[in-house]
Amino acid sequence: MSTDVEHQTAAEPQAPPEPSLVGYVAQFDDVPSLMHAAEKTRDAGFKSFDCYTPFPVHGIDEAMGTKPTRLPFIVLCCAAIGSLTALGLQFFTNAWDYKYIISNKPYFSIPADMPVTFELTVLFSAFGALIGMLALNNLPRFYNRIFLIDPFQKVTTNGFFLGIESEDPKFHEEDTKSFLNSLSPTTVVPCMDPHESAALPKLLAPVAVFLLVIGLIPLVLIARMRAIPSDVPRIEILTDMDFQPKAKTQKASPVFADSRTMRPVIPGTLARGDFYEDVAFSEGLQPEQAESVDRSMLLPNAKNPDGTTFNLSTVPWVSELPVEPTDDLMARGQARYNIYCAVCHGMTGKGDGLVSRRAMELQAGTPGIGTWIKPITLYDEPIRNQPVGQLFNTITHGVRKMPGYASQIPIQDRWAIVLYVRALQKAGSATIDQLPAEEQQRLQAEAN
Amino acid sequence: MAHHGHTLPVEEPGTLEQNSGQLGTLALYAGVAGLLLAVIIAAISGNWARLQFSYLHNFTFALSISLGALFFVLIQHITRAGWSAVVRRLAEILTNGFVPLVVMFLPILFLVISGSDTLFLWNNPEVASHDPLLNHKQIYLNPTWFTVRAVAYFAFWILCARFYLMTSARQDKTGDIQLSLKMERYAAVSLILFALSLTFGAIDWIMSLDPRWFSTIIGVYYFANANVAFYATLAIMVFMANRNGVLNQTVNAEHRHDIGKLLFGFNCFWAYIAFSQYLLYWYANIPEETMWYMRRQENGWEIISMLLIVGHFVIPFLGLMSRTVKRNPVQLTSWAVFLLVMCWIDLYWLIIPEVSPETPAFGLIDIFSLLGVVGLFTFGLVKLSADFNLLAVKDPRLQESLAFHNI
Repeated sequence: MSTDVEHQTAAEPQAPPEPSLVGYVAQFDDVPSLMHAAEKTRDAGFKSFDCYTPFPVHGIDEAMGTKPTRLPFIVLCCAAIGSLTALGLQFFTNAWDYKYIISNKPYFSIPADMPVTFELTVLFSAFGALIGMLALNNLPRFYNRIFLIDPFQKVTTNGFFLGIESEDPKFHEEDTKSFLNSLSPTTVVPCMDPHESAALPKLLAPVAVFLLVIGLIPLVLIARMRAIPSDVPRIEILTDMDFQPKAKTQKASPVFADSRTMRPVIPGTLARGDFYEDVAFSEGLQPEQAESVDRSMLLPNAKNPDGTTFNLSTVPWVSELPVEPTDDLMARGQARYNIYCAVCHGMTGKGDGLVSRRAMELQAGTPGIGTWIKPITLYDEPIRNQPVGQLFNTITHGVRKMPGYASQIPIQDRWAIVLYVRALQKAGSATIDQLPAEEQQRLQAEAN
Repeated sequence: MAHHGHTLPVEEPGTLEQNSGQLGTLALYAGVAGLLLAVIIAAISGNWARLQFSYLHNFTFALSISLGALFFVLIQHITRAGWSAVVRRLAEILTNGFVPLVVMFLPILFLVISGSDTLFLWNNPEVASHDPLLNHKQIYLNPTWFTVRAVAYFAFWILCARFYLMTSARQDKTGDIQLSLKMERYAAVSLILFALSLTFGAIDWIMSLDPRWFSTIIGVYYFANANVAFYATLAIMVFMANRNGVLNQTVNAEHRHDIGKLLFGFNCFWAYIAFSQYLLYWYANIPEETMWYMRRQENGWEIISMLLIVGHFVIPFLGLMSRTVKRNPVQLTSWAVFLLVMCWIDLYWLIIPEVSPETPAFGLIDIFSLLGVVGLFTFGLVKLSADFNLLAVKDPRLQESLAFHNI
């Protein structure tokens, strides 16, 4: 290796190749003569030639016979690609990959997609126009051999030039020169390619390597930090709203005196849409006498002033359902009952729900623990005799250990459950005589 | 850019009256006959409400052309535009249309003052006092204030239009450059007044047809439509003039190209504004706003709505995009006629659903109203333009305009 290098350095430097002709450049004094020359050159059949002027000249493209640009088609294609990209992106994100209903609009809705589609269409068109223009003009190009011609420096002030390149099939060393001379230019200069360029500065390579190494340091540091564990909280450059002074469920709040984030309902207020004039419907009370009822006595385990338990049967309950009993309501009541009530009361209302059975098992296994009371059977005489208003009140506020369900079950659904409970009671305490004749025969046949 | 160093010859094209042949007389006959026939049809069918809405529709259509022309004149002056000097006089002549229009507005004004609530429901005190929304708006929507505003709009439009036309005509004789500078100075304040008068005019005469509805963009919408209608009319006027051998030496493909670009651009602007309005209503989904669009999305009106999207935007967008089309007289004029029809349908879509929500079908009454209003409008234009050249022959920027080249 080393001998090779020595050998090369010791050798005579190779002679630079001979400069070769790459074209002729004619200089003109004004626009009309340049235009005239361009027309002549066009008519002579030259293709690879160009005009160089200090400012844009109207009509020069026509004089040169320049074909209309293909740029509009490039831009159109880019615009179409932009539109389709935007629509595809929005279809993929909104209607395919992560369906998410926004404002009750369809997943893929054209009006909402228009702004993004418009923007991407314009963006892609602009890219297409810029990059396409550069590509069609063979740009970026930092250097042109024509710059080496001495008079060409006037092209930025008052020189008008026409250059024919040697690539042109009609180019001929002598003929082209005499043709240009026939256009009455001020001068005609050959454009030579010297096939050599100034050497790069010696410092360039070491400086580039040094900068590269410096540039790698941050990346290496980041890679190291990501690879090793650390107890220090991460540096938050952009917190991305990670820390927000907002109220969170079950967390203390510095805003309120009692530190409760979840605010209790303010007495006497109603949620929007929760006001019902019909107390028979909303509370299960008889409207005429409802005003005299002390509502606090309707809560579970309410005590009279003398300390005895308040007798709920003295309240003026409605005895007729305040809603129309329909098949739909019954079906709704069954569904709600099975969701909310059956876990304790059992699917049939006997008090044998899963929660109740498990609690009884635990209590039986370890006597002395637990305070579970088995729910009473809904078929019991006292319950059967309760007016529907009282059943409704029980669901609303609860009774003994049972909590109220007002917050979970809307009023209409509570009445549906009452209706279903009535049906359960009727079914659970029916005698065989009440069944249809066919049913009676079938059951008797089974018993036999 | 390219001053050729020598002065280009300028022809004296004569006045509109000299060059329009029998147009004025024909327009007068057509106008009177059209209005009479429209009234007869309304009398036979008993549908007077439809007549009033059709008349208002065509009134706003003719008005939009004059408004677009006035805006064009103001913009050319404030930007010191050079290219447009050869066609600016045509626009100035179009602004003469405010005079016949103010006469044609009198029936509408009369109806409002006499307490008719056919066009404007807010003019019914019974309804207005019981509807909380209308009750609130009564401070603005009442006959007195409506009249005052209408007088103010027309006063400004006519004064402004006359000022620019007369000053420019004076320059035809003197060639005084100071007159151009004077017109430029007044253009700024005129543009502000123009924006206000057009916006409130659109609110009064189009938006308040449904007094419960509101749109903060209706003025811009009407403005966009007015510009499209004006550039289409200008392209047609240039074509007609050239066909009659007038302005052949002055208006060339370069000017047509620019008119075409502005027509194309303002048509895209119209689509942008129309879609902006729709998108916001569609997203917010507020009942008192969406009901306006609901009316235009059922009973066949959805066909007109789709027609506007396709015909007023998609087709002309693709058709007018090419440079060749804009520079070709026949093709540009065809697109201008097409877009003028679309502007008419757009105003139809804005106004007629308020009287005929059950069907979008247009009948003879619309055709005759169009003939009547546009006929009288044209007659007024021709009569009032008797003394004016079709070209601002001594405009200081005329040479620049004649030598104008698109790059």
